[in-house]
Amino acid sequence: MSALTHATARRATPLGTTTLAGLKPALFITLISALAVAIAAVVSEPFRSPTNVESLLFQMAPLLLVAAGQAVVITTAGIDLSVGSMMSLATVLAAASSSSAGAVVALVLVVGLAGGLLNGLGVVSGVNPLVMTLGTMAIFRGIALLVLGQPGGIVPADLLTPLTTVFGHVPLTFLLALAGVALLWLASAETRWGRTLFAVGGDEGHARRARLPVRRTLLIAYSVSGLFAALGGLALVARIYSGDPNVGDPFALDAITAALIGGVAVTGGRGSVLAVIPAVLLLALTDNLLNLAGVFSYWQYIAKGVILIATLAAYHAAGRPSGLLTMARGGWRKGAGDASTGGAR
Amino acid sequence: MPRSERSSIAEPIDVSGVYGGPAGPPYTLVCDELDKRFGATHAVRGVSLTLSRGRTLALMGENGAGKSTLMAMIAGELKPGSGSVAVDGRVAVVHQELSLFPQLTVAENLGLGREPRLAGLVNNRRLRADGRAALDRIGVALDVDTPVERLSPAEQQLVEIARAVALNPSLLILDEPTSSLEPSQVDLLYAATERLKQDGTSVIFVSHRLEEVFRFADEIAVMRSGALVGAGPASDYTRESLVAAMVGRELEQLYPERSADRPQAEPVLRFEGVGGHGVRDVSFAIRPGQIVGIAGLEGHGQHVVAELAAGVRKPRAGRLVLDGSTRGDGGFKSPREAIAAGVAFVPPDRRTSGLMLPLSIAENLTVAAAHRLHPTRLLNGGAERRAIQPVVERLRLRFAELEQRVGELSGGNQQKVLFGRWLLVRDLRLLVLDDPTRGVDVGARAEIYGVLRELADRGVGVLLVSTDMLELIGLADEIHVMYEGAVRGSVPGHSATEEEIMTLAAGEA
Repeated sequence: MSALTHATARRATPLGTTTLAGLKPALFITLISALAVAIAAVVSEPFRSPTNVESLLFQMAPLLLVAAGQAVVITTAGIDLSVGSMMSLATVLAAASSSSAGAVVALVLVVGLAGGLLNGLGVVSGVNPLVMTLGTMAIFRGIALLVLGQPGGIVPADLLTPLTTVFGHVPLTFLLALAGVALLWLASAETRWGRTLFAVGGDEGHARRARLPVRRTLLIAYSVSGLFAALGGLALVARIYSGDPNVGDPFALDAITAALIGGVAVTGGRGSVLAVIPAVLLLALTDNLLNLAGVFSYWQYIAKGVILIATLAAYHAAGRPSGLLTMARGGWRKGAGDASTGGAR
Repeated sequence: MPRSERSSIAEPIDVSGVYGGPAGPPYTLVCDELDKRFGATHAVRGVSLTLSRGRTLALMGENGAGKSTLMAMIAGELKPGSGSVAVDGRVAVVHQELSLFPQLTVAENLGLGREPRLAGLVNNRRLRADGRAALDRIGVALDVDTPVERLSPAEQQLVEIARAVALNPSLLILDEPTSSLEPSQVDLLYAATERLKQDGTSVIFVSHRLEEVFRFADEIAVMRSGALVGAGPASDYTRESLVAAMVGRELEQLYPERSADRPQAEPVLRFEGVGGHGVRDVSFAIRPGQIVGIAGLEGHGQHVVAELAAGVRKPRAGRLVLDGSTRGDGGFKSPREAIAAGVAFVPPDRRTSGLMLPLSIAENLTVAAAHRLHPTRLLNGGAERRAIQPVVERLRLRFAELEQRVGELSGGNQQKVLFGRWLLVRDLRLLVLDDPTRGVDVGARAEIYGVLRELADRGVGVLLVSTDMLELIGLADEIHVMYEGAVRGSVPGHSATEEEIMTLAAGEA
């Protein structure tokens, strides 16, 4: 039992050990999603159709972006409820400003960053994240309504054209969203900021004592969430071709759902941004398949709720030695390991 | 201001000018009339202290004597009220409460905030190599890819020390570094500090284990009520004179007198071939008024025995017999059932599993006796205060007011609150203690030991799990020594020796 008896295994993976451990839930969700795709493709003729694939991918893009930002904030043991309003605000800014595409994109990104930074400033000055982002959720919604009182407006043509570009049947927005998520994953897992992010989310007090830059880390996390919500708003414009001050509403909770299904611990410090990709796929598939099956759309909410609870229950079970799934070793349980209870091993 | 690189580094201050450059003595640390008040509390009173290069100073004193405040000022974590502190180089601190991140690996913890980079991304290969190098420096071999939460408390402590040593500090402050270490690991730490000293690093060492103080320290400084009451070479002190200097009175006896033999009453609790959770075939009995000790090195199952007795875990084999009747399916179904049966548990980590830190002293004290104190389920403040007052006085609890948060108390006083909780429970039959005095100073220990003996004399059975062998020898009527999950042997408390217990605990007998 002495410290000396532990083997000093040598690993040479270029990725961090914790980064890899965070991907385990993603693997699980990927398997389930792949299975769902395979079954649907076999049994459902309309599912296989190119138009359906294209619409599925268009549908995924906004949620991918906003869920990735949300995952970063949840990793800090925080939450961002304002992202839905921020998406709406982005769509109305795109549809109401009637300037060139470049100016519109710049405006939307600056507003996203500024809104996120505002959240971050509130949180580092001691406002509870739930309270802060609940407040800004209302504020951003109010601003969006002031800019554009009802759905409509005109999106500049030179913006709409690239946003709706499709390669084969793969939308450009989907590819850009994938790239955005991948970049954010790399930044959040494999940079100094990222490592500090996990430390702050794991124990903010310890992080302060270790003189890690806690404030800066939180400010960046919330700014990123605002920025990715604004990008998600642009991806939404590609679907609705207009501005809508309420269109983003469901995305705040959907983004939280996606992050949690992807294995990001709601208590902070554990998880992986990359895991939102299969999680968003699973949620989009649920909507898509129920639609195709002609099930009344309200059932989609119930289905997604069941998926959320079942997935987290499975993660929880896998966190125990007696669990059915063994993929969770080193997963997201917070300080409940055998070592911390001091039991004999 | 540039961000400090990491854990607890003070800005280097050049002291060569102050002390006459090369001609003066090569001090690493010079404190001049350091003083600090917190409101009405005068925490540190005009402390002047010097420490030469490559020397080890043991800073002694009861909890609340001002050691932590003094060290925080030396480390640059706290601004002095008046006076000055100068350190020639960096200070690294290993705090008593670990500050590692449990979900991250050893290497990630060691490199946190100063990860080696390659094109902006963390260079994980070098991070692992650096981590191994940092562990090598203190002679510890651990897999750097293990998440810290899967290490034992002792291993976590060693990682924490490696993290501080990796900073190449000129002054290393170790606050109770040995409290969770087993003897072989203390030897490792000793060798590491000797090596550091040869490189010119000075060490300040805080411990309540006197034998280690005399082993590690070249010099000893003693604080009492915020003032420095003694400082000099370690050879000037004996155990007795050191304890006397710390408490300001001769501590006639740390351990209370053993009670006379009582008639062999029916056991309060009997373990009959209990197994599971890493222990096997554990059998012993605790009679009313008896203090039964469980000894063993870290990780040999003694914590599991405590948790089984307290109903935190259920036995997978064998059975627990309480007052002559078997419990349910062989053990308690839950801690709640155990409490209802008069079994109390003081867990080893008071901060995470014992106390509710944000709540008040009063709330923490009354939580187990709430049903008795408030039979109508409406809180009765007067009855509560009347019940608490004698307990608070009995424990000599030091506090500002009963509404104060427990988190603000010193370690020893927190531990007293945890004990006081069970003094309020009238029908207590069995008290289960797991390392009850870890990080608790001599004065508070004596009070806790006194209360333990008093409870035993009232007829309460006590199960005492401890890694401190002297504590077991001083208190227990009977000591069972664990090795690899089983009871390796038992010795009577009044005649046991450290050698005897150690031999059993190491599996050599």
